[in-house]
Amino acid sequence: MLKDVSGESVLNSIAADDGDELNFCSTCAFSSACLEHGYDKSRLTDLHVLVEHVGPYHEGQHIFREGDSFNAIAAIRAGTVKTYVTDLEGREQVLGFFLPGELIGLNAISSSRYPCNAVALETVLLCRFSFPKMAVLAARMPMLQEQLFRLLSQDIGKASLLAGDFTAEERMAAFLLVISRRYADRGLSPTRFRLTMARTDIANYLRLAAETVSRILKRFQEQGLIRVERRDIELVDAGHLHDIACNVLRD
Amino acid sequence: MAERYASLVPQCLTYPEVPELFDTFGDRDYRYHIERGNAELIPRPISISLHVPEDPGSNEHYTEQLLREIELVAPLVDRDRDVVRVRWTGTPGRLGAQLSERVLDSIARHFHVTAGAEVSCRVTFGLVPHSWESLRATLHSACDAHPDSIDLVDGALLRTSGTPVQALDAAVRLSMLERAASLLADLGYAHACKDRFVLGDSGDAPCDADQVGLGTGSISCTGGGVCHNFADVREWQSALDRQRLPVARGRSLTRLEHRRAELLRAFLCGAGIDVTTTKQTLCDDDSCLEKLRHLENCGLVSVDAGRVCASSRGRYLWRILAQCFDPDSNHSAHAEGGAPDVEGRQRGIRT
Repeated sequence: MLKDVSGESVLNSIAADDGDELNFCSTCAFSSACLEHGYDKSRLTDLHVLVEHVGPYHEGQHIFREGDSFNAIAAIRAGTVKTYVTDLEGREQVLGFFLPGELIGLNAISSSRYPCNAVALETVLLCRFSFPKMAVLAARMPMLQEQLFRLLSQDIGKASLLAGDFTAEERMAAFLLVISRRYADRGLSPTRFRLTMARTDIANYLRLAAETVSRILKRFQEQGLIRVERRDIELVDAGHLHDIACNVLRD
Repeated sequence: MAERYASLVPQCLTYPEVPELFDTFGDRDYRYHIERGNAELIPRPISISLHVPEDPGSNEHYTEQLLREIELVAPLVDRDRDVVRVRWTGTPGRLGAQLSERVLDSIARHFHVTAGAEVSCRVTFGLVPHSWESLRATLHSACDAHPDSIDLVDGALLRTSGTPVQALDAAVRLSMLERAASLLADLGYAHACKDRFVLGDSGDAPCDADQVGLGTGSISCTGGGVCHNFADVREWQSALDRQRLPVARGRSLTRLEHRRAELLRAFLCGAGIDVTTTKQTLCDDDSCLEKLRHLENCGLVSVDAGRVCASSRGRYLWRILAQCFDPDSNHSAHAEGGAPDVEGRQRGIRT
């Protein structure tokens, strides 16, 4: 059983507190950056008026589909989202997973159409920002622009992470550590978390067979690196995992 | 001890007890839960439970329908999920060797059955007109076929779907269980986990397998869902004729029920449990641990250095141990100072 010292489950199933006119939701992709740079509440109001809370989207429900016209980016307030495309043979290719506090839709800016599908893997709440209006606002708020660039850069980085010719173990270890870091960035437990995506989705994303994903996780568990219980993961020896993943992570 | 045993009430074979199953749970829900089981990071192996009722109608027709059910369910289960156990329940002898072989062949073709998979049978006792003599004869006859394992189950403690059963007195049933455990040990079957006694050292099939039930009234438990097949042969056949999984009722377990089930599994299968973890996961207070400590005097558990372990006797009388964790029982026992509340538990039975 994965539990923290308080006895409460530490699985990162998050529902953000609702923001109000002058306060951001706790998982907001912009709040920390904006607040750090001393934007006062009246300035933040400009950003708040762009925000629209949408959802809930239930497990399996699509948030957008490939080809839909794009006019907003969305920050995840709660839940996990998978993005994917379907090839000409009808095979699904998983492009990525998005956790609370992360943005979906950034890759649609250039063509004004979503280049992929996004589906909720569990109950998902979103914060939608009109992109044209945000772009105008960003010109007036350099910090907002900087944060937007940073998020775009992270999005590009995520996509290239697994592009190299890495072993299955390297990919799996890197995947676990990247998810861990992303949770840590949101102030959540980096060592105990729930992987809400199915193993077939993880396998597809890592370009491995589903059986291989399970086999490697089993091996990691036998080596004392992780503990697995259904979809819950505990990183027991993150240092060793990092040694395995260093070619992928390059840090 | 007899009093504690008498306080046990019918449960489904899986524990924790599922207090309420819903008949709105059907084909689609069961498929969803099989898929959820497949989706786990390290999917659990599969234990197949095959039920043959006392009156299956035509044996050949029942077998044909079982084969259809196998063909319907098997493609839903990922091929890398090993079948580690095939267990017959009910009255499999009715089918005869030839039809039984057909069923087992079909399972071997449609599922991924491991080379060392257990073949098992369930022996039920405790109902009128059972007696110790008839149970002894049944156990001898079951062991003559050398199954890898035998499940010894008190029939009075199984949920039945509609058909009323007349149970023997609890003290008589407890005595039968203790004598049967002893007889099975003499016949080479050592107790492994819950109701399961395994032949020699063949019993390394994991206790945490998901269960796929086939046949009337069988129970499936996978991917966080529990469901029962139709107990009525005609209803079961009618669903299969329509290419639907013959699920009569079921339920998704809550996150808390999951956690309880995991901890109980560890405890009942001999691993022992940490007192602090137990308190955090299973009880709001010390009540369940207090009740476990009472069982120390009866030799069912040992409490040592922050861990509670089931004794060898406690492990086949596991329902008495598991009862300590029942939420209703906890609640009432807290008020009454430790005695399980039979009334309260019976109110929880809906199926």
